Amino acid sequence: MDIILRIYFFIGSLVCHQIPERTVYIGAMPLPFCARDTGIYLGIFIALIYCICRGRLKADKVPSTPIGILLVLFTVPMMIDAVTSYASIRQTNNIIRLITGIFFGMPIVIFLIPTANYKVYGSNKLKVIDSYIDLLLVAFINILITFAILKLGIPNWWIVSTACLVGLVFIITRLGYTVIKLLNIGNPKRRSIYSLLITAITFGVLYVLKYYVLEWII
Amino acid sequence: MNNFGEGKTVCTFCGEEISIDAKRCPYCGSIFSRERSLNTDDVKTERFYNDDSMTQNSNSNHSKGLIDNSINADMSAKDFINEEKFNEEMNGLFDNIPDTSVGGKSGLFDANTYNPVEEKINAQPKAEEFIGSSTEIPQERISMQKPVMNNNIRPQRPPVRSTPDVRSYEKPSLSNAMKVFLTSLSNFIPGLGQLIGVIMAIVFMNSEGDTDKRSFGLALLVNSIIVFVLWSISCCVFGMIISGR
Repeated sequence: MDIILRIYFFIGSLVCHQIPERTVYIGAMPLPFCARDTGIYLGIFIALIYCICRGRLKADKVPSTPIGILLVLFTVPMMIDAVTSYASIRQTNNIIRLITGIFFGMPIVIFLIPTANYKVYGSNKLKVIDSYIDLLLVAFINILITFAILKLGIPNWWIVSTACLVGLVFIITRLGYTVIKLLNIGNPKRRSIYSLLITAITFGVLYVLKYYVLEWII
Repeated sequence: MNNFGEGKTVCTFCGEEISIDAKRCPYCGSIFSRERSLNTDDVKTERFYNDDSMTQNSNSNHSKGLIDNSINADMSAKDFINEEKFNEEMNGLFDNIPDTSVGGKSGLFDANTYNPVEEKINAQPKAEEFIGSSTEIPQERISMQKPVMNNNIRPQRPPVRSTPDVRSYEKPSLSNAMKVFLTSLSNFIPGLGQLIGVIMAIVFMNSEGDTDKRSFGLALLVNSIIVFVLWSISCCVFGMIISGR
């Protein structure tokens, strides 16, 4: 168990500063990511689970323009929060970080899933988000989970950490898969393997960046 | 062209020895690329033989040369435009060559005087006459006739050209300047640029029937997401440096 815990914190350290003051605690244990990153990867995970449950993992149609704009607007609060807090214009806290982070992560999946399946020269039938009701449903699930983590403490540390880790791995793998598919590189049957390889390489690069380049700079 | 040793052949127009890969004879300026691609053109254009009289004549290999005089056009608009360029070039080259073609027209590449209906009507008797004759076609004559076939493509362009692909090719809906502007915007302005890029990409990807916009929208969306991730990593690294961790 101790080894798994170390792996979680090691992967977290590759993509996150892990400052204790900015980290959410479940019980007495800090999560492997900071509050904002926890929100982002949790948002990715929730949207992914939603797409799997609704059978939208093979969706090829992007959301309609109004819903697309609304999804983009979901990402704005986190950006404003991050910029203003880093610029010392205003103070923020972990609750805001987590909520804005969750709403930042969710649209990434909704945009990224149909991108890989999108057909330029054909008709795309299956929408990843059908209507505003779908969007509200995902947003409501996000808020519910945030409330459960922050106030009720219902999910235990392992569930939240694993969900964040899955979200992180998924986003890198899916991005690699999308690029491979659009560029039509390699054998189509082995694209999943290639994208996992890209994920491993990305983590390797992040490791070098974090523990060699950044250490040298600092 | 005839094969003449390894990597060499003979120009069917002037008889000089030239490279087998040459697209244009360095001595007389004759173009060979189209002549070579005629084999593939024949396969493609067989789909468009809607005229019964034409399909009947296609039984004979000898009559094929004459049938090709009324060959239908290639479906692709791009090929059609290339064809026009090619014909213009060939018109310039062959204006002064005496007429050896079957139609007996005043010039080999005179598209203005060419009548496709008349050519179709005359095709079958000519084919029968040709089959009846036991003489071999002189190589030179075949070579001189093939440009005529190409020239005949022009009046017989298929009338249905309204597929989305062709429309977008003929009239790109997005200018290159706009594409460059949007790509630059999404690449160089952190945060806001990517958001604008994603919104524009969604708008373009939702435009039905416009493949130019759809294709660019897809590329812009992927680009915006990747650049967004890269900017986020950069900000994270910057934050780590600032905080000294």
